[in-house]
Amino acid sequence: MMLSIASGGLFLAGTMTPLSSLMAQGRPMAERGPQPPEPASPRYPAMLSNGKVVQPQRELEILHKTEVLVIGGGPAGTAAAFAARRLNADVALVERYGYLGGLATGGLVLAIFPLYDRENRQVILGIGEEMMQRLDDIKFGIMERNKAPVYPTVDAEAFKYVLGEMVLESGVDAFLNCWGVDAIIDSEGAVRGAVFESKSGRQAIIADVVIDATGDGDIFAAAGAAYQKVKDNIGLVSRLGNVTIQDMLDEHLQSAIGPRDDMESGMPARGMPVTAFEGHVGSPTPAPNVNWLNMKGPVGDALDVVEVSRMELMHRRALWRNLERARLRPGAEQAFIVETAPQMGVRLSRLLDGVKIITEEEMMAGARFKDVIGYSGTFANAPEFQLPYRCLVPSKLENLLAAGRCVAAEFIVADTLRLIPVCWVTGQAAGVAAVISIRDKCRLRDVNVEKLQTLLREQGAYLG
Amino acid sequence: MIRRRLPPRFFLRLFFFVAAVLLLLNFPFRFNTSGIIVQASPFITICSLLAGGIFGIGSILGVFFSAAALVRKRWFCRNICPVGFLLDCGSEIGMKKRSWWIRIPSIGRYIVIMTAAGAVFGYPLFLWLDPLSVLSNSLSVYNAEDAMSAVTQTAGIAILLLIAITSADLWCLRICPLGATQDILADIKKFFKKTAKTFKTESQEKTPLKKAFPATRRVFLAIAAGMGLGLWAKKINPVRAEEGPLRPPGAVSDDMFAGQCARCGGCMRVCPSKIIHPDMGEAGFTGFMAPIVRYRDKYCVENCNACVQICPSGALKNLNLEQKNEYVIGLAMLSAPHCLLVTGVSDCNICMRVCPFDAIQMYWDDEAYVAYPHVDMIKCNGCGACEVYCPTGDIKAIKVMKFNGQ
Repeated sequence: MMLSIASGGLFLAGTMTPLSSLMAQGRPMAERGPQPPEPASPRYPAMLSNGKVVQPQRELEILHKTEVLVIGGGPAGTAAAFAARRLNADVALVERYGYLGGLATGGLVLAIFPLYDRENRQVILGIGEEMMQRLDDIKFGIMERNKAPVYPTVDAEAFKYVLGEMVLESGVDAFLNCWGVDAIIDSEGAVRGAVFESKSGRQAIIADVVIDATGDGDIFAAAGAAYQKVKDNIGLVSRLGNVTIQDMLDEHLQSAIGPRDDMESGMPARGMPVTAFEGHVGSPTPAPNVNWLNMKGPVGDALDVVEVSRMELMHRRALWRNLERARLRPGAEQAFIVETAPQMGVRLSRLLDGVKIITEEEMMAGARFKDVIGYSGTFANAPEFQLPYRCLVPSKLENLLAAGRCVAAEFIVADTLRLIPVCWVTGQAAGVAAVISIRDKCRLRDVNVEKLQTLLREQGAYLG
Repeated sequence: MIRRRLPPRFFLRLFFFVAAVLLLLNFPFRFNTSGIIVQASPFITICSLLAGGIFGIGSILGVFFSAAALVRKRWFCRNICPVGFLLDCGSEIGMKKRSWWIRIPSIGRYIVIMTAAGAVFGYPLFLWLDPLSVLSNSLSVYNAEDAMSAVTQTAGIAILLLIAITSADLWCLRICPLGATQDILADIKKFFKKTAKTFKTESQEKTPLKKAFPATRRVFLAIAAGMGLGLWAKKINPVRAEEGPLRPPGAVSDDMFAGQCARCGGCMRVCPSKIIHPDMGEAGFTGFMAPIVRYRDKYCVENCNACVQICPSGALKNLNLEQKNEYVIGLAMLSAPHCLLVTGVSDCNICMRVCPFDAIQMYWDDEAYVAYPHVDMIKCNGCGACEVYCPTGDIKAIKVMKFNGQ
């Protein structure tokens, strides 16, 4: 009998706790009364004085020291971390949620777009392509691969798993559920690290180079870099399960009614305002009978917590109303919401004032740059165009690179740069450039561009 | 004649034929020479003017050729007409008997009279029978959308050649309205000469009118028929909104368009986007072969007004670039059930991005809780960029449709 207890064969009724472990450790005791403060907990709470809330000055615990610190574990952040780690740098990755992938997984932005040029050649390779190759090996991981101009769609959970595996294999120090909130600057104004908030309290990571892959540019804004604040639509994507139909499927199109009939039946017609609809079921994902449903959402200020909170509640309400109507459609009677995205689909908020701001004319002309770090695929009437390294570098701030959707570009260009594969490109380039600047002991704006390009090519990136 | 000893006139006519074809293809000059060539036909010049059309550079040539017809009978036909040259070459290889039709009266004269009469009501009935138009139209074949329209475009010149091979000179002497126009001009001159003579000499009771015009009654009948047909054709053209075909920019109102268009195919030829196609009967039989706009791969680009500059008949008003961009071809309309954005299939905003006139904005409807492309009716001119780039496949979610002002 003792043998079976020791091997953990018996469990406490109703729990997963092996009896053996209970015996070995003893039951954890609830402790009462004032406790000695945890090392990094706020020993100096904010004070209310004269109607103002003041946070006393305090010293923060330095949790970690590293060479490259990446804030944000989305497409740009993960690509930056892997790229830097491959050059044998110490890399720390701070992510706000408990998973990696950012909007690509948690935002349910499952379409990997834009990948191709006008001749349907894939122009975005490198680490992003490796991620997709890993998804290839997973059942229901990714679909429509290498079928240009149709774009691949990924499964969010598979993608989270793949990114987690890549972090574990690469040796990147990942800090999850940590919200990067502030920059650390030295007396000259150069960035030396970042402060983040977690269940362990407010802590700091010191780094030689910080890569701001927060999407909103929280870190460069905190560090005092100039930026342009923009508003864009904010939606909430969801996934529907048990759906055997898709919007825009051929049969659906063929049964669609002509403009004249529309007006008689009260259906939305050409040129008529959109008022009432049958419920939408979105488009398929790699998982069988699971669709993802995009939502554009109203234009809002992603940096205004009151506005965003209200918006998210309204979005969730609308998703349920849509579901009820979708269930009236044949093929979706038993539909249910698999998940609503944990993160709202913030498109654009802050755009860095970089050394180079990509203009609309450059995008439309398919610009080429000497300091090219990669491509954006063709989108609408804009051809594929090159991305310059300078659009990652703040115009004044030192020791910080932007990556992802907050890089320096005009609004309409950023509307393309914010897309998942382009974030991979800027992320990977930022990771490599950060390591070069550390190894060559030069400023980020003085990084040897040829070296950067050579290393990027070695990592499989496509630079034309 | 040609086979034995080539007269110098043959080379002159060959030169004019080659020159006309090249100029119709807008070669070698950079500006639109094609419209000038078609406009140079006295038939088109006169009828377009009567129909309230235009007086272009080509019309000056047209007036010149008309004047030449007064001096020398059918001077244009004998020296310049490229179609005449082509047909003469054709009849050389065919039967040269010109017997059976010799008693047929000149149909061409009545065609001209009816067309001119219709033109007074804005509807020149048979403008499309002009040989220069027919030649020009056949040269548009390389821009043809499909085999069917290619066949139709070349059918005109093929029929003329067939006539020439089987019965030489039948077209030129009996049917061709261009030739008949010159005949009528000569008739009028003769008539005035005779009347003048009659006045001078005060001679016998011979009715000069009857001699000058072969059949006065028939002429008046033709005028009446032309006017009646012109009015009737204007009535039966479809002008219903959303259903009428899209016309190239600058097109006169649709009740007039089919009549004023000479079917020269010039606009189809010069369009860099190749969006102008011959109408294969979509707008009713009266609009057959007239240009209609269909957006497939390209749209009506904002830096081009080639078609309105080339039009010889005034069916497309001559607009400058700014005016052309303001001309409303149609209006982009959304079919919400097809829209990728509305249905939540993807985060598409392509129509907004491609619109050259910023006429499309993404509107958020809080009631329906859905975003959709909203077309600004003031800014939209129906250029079709949104329709071309709309990624939905065969059925476009956004489509330019006829819009007649309301």
